[in-house]
Amino acid sequence: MPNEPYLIIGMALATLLTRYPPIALAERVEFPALIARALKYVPVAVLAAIIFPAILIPDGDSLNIGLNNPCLAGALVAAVVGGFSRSILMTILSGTGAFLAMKWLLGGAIS
Amino acid sequence: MTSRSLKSPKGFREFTSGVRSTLPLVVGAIPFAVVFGTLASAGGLSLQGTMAMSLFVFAGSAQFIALGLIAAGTAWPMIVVTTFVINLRHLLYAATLIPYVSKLPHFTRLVWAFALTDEAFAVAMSRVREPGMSLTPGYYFGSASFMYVSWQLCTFVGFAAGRHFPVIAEWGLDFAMPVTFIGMLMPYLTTRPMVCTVMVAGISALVLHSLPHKIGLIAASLLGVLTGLCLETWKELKSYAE
Repeated sequence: MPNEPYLIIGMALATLLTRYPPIALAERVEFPALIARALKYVPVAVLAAIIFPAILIPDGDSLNIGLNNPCLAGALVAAVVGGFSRSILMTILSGTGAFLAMKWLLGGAIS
Repeated sequence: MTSRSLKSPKGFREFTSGVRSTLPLVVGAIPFAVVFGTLASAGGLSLQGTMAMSLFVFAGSAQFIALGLIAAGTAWPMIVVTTFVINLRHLLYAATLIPYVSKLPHFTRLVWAFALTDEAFAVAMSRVREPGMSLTPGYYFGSASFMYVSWQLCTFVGFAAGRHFPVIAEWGLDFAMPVTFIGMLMPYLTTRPMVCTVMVAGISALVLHSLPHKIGLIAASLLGVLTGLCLETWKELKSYAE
């Protein structure tokens, strides 16, 4: 992409901005309890807000919660395996495996 | 301070001890970094851009999400804003580390902050919980540098694999991204507020999907965070009342 340098410098600064200030001001800072509590939910909320549309709106256009959506099958398998194993690697392998199997079963050659 | 602490035998022992405790997390991060490199090569980033992102941003989930946003044609300032929002959890990590860094020199603190990933934080906190042990700069740098070097190597391997076997990217590796996120998400789902946060954020994201510039993503995330916050506070108030 054409704006790669801007993107990377921007992302690097944005990331440092979330990691550095409390450490830099360690002697002076006190963290409000309410903010700390809210931050706990941030990664979970952001991940969910990315996962749901990626799985259920696979064409980027319309909702598909039917059996003909291989992403849904893969996601369900991944969630079950992830919930029990707590292993990211197992989750990726099983979920992607189920996705590919479903895609193949649905007749579309894996191309 | 850092270099002096590493030259002493004790500092070196701390360093290797940090490396050892980080090994399981590095194993978990390897597929993540390889998939990142592969997706980046398929998703239009150059080799320099891919490596620069791993070298200078060094934030796994933000790097993945950036790829997803690039693929969706998002403008770079919006990706930077999203990166900030996704990484806000690091503020909490940094705040938790305050008691362990307040006597360190400022440059050392900057390096601590740069390397403060989910993994570094997890390792640091498990060290703090070990009886009779303290979180020393040597230990932290051992852990952080092991994770950093592995992240770079695996990004490169993934990128090279994606370039040489472009068919890998067509096999549905784009599906590996949401599935990796599912793997990251599941361990959090131990309390009712967390589960409700996921449902509210996820369903709102579906409803708000058509809003431009990924505004739906941010709005849905905020709704999810509010849900978790309200439920936890409500639960706490109820337990006071009983």
